[in-house]
Amino acid sequence: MATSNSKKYLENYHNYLDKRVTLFTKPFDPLIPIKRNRRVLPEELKFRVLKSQHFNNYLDKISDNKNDRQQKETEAMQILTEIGFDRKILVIRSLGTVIDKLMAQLYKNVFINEQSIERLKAIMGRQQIIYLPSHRSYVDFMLMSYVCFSYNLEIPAIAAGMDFHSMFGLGELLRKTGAFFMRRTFGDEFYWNIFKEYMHEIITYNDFGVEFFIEGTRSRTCKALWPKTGLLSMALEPFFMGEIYDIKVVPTSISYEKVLEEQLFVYELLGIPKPKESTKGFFKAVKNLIDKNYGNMYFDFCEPISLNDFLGNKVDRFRHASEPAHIQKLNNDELVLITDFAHHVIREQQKKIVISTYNLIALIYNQYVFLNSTESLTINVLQNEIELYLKFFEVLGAIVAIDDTNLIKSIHEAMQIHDNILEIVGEKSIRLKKANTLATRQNNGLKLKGHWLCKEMMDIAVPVFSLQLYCNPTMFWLSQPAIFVFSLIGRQNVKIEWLKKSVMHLRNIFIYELVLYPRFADEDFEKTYALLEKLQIICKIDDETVSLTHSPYINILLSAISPFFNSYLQTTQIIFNNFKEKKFASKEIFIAVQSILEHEMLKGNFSIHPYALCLETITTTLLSLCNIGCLFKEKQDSVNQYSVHAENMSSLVDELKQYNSNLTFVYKYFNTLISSKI
Amino acid sequence: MSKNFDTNIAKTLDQTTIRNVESVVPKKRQELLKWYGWGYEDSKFHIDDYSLFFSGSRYPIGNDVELPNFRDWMGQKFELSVLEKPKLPTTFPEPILNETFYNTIKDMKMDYSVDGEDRFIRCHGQTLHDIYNIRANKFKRIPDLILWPKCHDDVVKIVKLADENNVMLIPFGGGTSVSGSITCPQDEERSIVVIDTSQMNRLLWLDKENLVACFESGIIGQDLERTLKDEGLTMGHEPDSIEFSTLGGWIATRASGMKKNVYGNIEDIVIRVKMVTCKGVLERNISAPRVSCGPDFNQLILGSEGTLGIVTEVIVKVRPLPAVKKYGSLVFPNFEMGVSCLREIAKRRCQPASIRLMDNEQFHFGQSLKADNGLFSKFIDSLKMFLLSKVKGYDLMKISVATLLFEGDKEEVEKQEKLIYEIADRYSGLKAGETNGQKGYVLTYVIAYIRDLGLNHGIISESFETSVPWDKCLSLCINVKACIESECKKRGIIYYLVCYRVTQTYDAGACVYFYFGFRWDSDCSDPVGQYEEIENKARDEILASGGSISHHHGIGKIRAKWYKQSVSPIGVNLYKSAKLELDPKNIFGLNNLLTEEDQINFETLNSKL
Ligand SMILES: Cc1cc2nc3c(=O)[nH]c(=O)nc-3n(C[C@H](O)[C@H](O)[C@H](O)COP(=O)(O)OP(=O)(O)OC[C@H]3O[C@@H](n4cnc5c(N)ncnc54)[C@H](O)[C@@H]3O)c2cc1C
Repeated sequence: MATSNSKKYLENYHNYLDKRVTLFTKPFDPLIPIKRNRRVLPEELKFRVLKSQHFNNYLDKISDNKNDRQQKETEAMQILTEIGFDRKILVIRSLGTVIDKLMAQLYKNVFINEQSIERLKAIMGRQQIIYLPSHRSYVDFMLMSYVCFSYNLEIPAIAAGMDFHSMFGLGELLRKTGAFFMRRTFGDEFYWNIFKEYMHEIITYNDFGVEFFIEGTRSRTCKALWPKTGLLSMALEPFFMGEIYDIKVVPTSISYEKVLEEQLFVYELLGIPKPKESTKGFFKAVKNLIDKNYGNMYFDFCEPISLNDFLGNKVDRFRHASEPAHIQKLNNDELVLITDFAHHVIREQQKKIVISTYNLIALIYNQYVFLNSTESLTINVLQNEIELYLKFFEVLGAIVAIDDTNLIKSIHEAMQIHDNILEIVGEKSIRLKKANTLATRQNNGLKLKGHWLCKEMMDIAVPVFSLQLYCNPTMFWLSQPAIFVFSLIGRQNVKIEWLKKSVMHLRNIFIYELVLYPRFADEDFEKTYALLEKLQIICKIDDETVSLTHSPYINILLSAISPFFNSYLQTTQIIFNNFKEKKFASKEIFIAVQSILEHEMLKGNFSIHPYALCLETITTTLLSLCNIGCLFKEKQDSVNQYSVHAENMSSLVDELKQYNSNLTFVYKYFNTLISSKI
Repeated sequence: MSKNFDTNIAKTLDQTTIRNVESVVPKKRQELLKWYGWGYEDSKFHIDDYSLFFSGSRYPIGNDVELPNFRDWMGQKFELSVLEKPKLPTTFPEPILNETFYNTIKDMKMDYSVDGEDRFIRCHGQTLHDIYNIRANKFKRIPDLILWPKCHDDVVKIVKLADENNVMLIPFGGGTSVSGSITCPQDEERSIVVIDTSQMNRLLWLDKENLVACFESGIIGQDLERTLKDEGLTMGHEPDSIEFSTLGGWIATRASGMKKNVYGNIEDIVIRVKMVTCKGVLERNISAPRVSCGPDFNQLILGSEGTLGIVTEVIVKVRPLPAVKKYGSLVFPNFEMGVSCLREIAKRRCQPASIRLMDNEQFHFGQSLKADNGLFSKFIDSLKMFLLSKVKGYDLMKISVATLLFEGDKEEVEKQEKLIYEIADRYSGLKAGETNGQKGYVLTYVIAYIRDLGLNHGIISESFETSVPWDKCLSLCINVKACIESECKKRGIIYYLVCYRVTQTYDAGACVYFYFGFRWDSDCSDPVGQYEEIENKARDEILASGGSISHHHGIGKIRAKWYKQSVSPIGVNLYKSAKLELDPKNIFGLNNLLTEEDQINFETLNSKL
């Protein structure tokens, strides 16, 4: 039952901690992405922005007179000072040394795919490189520089949010290691004109390469996020305009056995605002975190994608070539291509996210909860289930890092790293630990995003959410097969045509939650269909009809998707029942959903999955509902106001209920529910 | 003769003004010129044992002096191997003759030939494709009949006769075309007749007051300049092919000469031009220096690439020979600085007669071509010493070299030199001496011979050019090189060379030349196909980087693919209308400019008529 493909792949990884060198003194003569006539000083980029035709034309346009222009230019220089990265090798060495220590403290192993580093080295020197890492933790920020520094690759310029910048001291430190800062404001034309030109110079003039997070922010749910294309289109524009021949894009997958921010994320998803990142807070948090063991982490540069190969046939660069680049913009078709590309990158990242033992344990535990049979889940049963899951993921193509020669040991190690979530009790049976969330009451003064959940609810929600965070990374592999199975469950001899319609419909509903990009839909359908047939999850009755088999994988898939399905069902129903007649903002929905569900759950209603309290899921639900015409959205005083399309909404609710009636799951994580509130 | 064929130029010419020009190139071209490659038969690179030589005494590197550096350079770049020398075929395709046409021609006592060799050597131009095919004897269709008209009237007779008998005509000048424009169409079923203009090469008259001269179109460059030089004059049009290309060819391809900064490109030099079409003679009957007279139909003739008619007589501007001709050269720390300097010089409009800038790779390539015989020796060594001893920041592996040519009277040249070196100084351009400059220009003529050497040794090489706005000049060079490198990599090509140079500068941009060569694998069955694939990719990249379809080589057949996007579909239609108006039977059936799918379907058209 060896997961041979995974194993083979994982052989390329080596524990960096075994071969650390003194970063403070090691020689650093890095390979650079693109050889130019000479190396460029970071400071030059800012001056080039100020001198650029694009920016000067813009200044001319917005300035009233000479004085005004001068003032605006000064302003621009200030903004550039705020944005611009720097490079001080001494700071890199010092920070590197600290991070190095930290890594050794926090992680058992820091696995690096060294083959992927060699592959990257082989393309160095010939074109600009954009690194696009997955983003699950602040650690990602340091990691790329750390790996590059250690392996003698030029450290890229790294786009960072202004929240980092405001961490006094740390922001300036990061700047000197190559971070450049981006405001999160929208619509500030002056600022974005400058920022965009700066990015242009980074790509066309600098030779460092550049790194940013295509998901825009850390994914609190540990699932992939819908990619942001703003920065990406700025970075790719010079290619479309014919200013450069090619860019190599390197999706990068960084996986953690346990993320540092696990509990912070859980609270955030529930609507408890995170503490603002002040330097003091940051260091305090670091100190608290430092003593724990976070298991393994994995770092992998995916195969570099040549933009020219990927887009070459689809774009007509000639169209832009006959006018100066600085007077042109990307057109809609090109923006669509960039979105396609962004989704492609997300998928490449996801394919190389390493799945660990605990991810499987979390899935299995959920499955047993839903089938109301946690009692029977002993270590031995768990072991058997893991073997089944391993086989399944092998066929799906995931990389799973489990030592299958000693599964029991792997299970114990994983349980130990995550001992705040599941525990082993009595006769080696496994149980979710109820939290004791007294401490959260101290958050009193902070602004809430949603409803003030009571302690009883929090005690349940926190462990359930924590567990869910470990199910979520597997959704990349499970969501599409699950949608198929979900469409077919409880039905016999389903017409393929109908199946496709149902799958497409469900894809539209979960489009943002599960990142199901519509333009890949047809291809996805064919592939998933073939996969499920191969796995004997579905079987063909005749040329036009299929049925589900009795495959053990069916329950795996159904239980994986049901927390999301249930959350969508709950939110949709609540909106339909309570907001038909009025306009509402998203916050009102947050409060309504959380408070109504809290009430119900504490009453002992086990048809509600606690994950339905998740604000991020409620947000994606709203987006989807707008997308499929169940809600209307309009901006009023810069706040989104929603209203219900009664007819569409009513039929959607019926549909979801219909699907739900085919599921026989209960969401009973804890037996006794005594509520003081009720 | 119908009225349309009457013309004004030289109508009642005083026969005594006519001067016959004895051409360097004989009527039997193959006696002087290579049939299987470029240039004079006696001038070529050759390898004996392990030494490399250039034979003949025509060029300064000749006289069989050893070229050790070049051999080393070739060895390093490509790892040489030797292929067999091609053999001239002994049998040729039977000529397809249109009886009426053929008999009438004979009756007219027109010079003609149906000899296989004569026909064979006129079936192609100088593209890599042509040369490779001619060496491998791959042309299945060659011209059927060669005619040598002696004057405009001869041409008029031929064209009318061809039109009446539906015979295809190919205007043939020097055969130096590098666009496939002259290449014999392989699927032509009609009789193909080449009109070789070489015997139509007289100076009809000279007007020293207005500084204009009237030549027949078949005169080749070096003959034309020699004739004018005797009068203390020059036309100043010097394409690198000047030894063999013709006035008519220049007009038909919109050629450009090295010294265009002083004398202009061919379109600036030509005042009046006479073209014989199937419908009559097209000419602008005005000798005034400039006219506003509706659309300028000279512009229709320029670049017509042999598809609309035959140019017979041309009135051109000439200039007094300059008193001083002086070379110069500059070294820049890198190509980028060189481009900035050229840009500044263009901005100030103070370009010398010629200014060219080589990238580092081409600089080294050029350096390797030195023999140990004076002119070409020791530059690199002295330069090395110079740079190491005097200046920091100049890396021999990064420097870029510009060559300069000044022409004018003494003071003028001195003033110009001073200004140029002043500007160069601001871009870290160091003066690197006269001989280096001169060497650069002489090399120009020799470079063309290298392709044949390569072909003998399994190396395919070719040059191509473009024009580009200033702001995109540098990025275009970098992009195209990156593109070619990446395409070579994809095809597993290990030994290759890409280098480039800026050869012309304008107010708004520059002309860039690329050289690309690679060694083909012994198991590659179609190296030319491979080359063409890569050049196509490179051309795509040129266009995507803001460059043009061609600065002066023209469209022909190998660049037809990009014609429509360059001139818009309406532009294509406009060309087609002109074609239909002037040549409804496609007598001038070279089928240049248009892709196969854009071609006019003359068959259905004519069957309808
Ligand atoms: C080594 C080398 C260097 C070159 N350097 C330059 C350069 O520096 N600048 C430059 O511009 N080009 C250059 N060329 C390209 C070539 O020399 C030019 O295109 C030249 O103008 C072709 O002239 P030709 O007489 O050889 O014409 P040909 O090759 O005989 O014909 C070219 C085209 O013109 C047509 N044509 C020829 N004569 C007439 C006529 N009398 N009436 C109507 N149509 C006619 C032909 O049908 C054909 O379509 C170079 C080529 C080579 C091989």
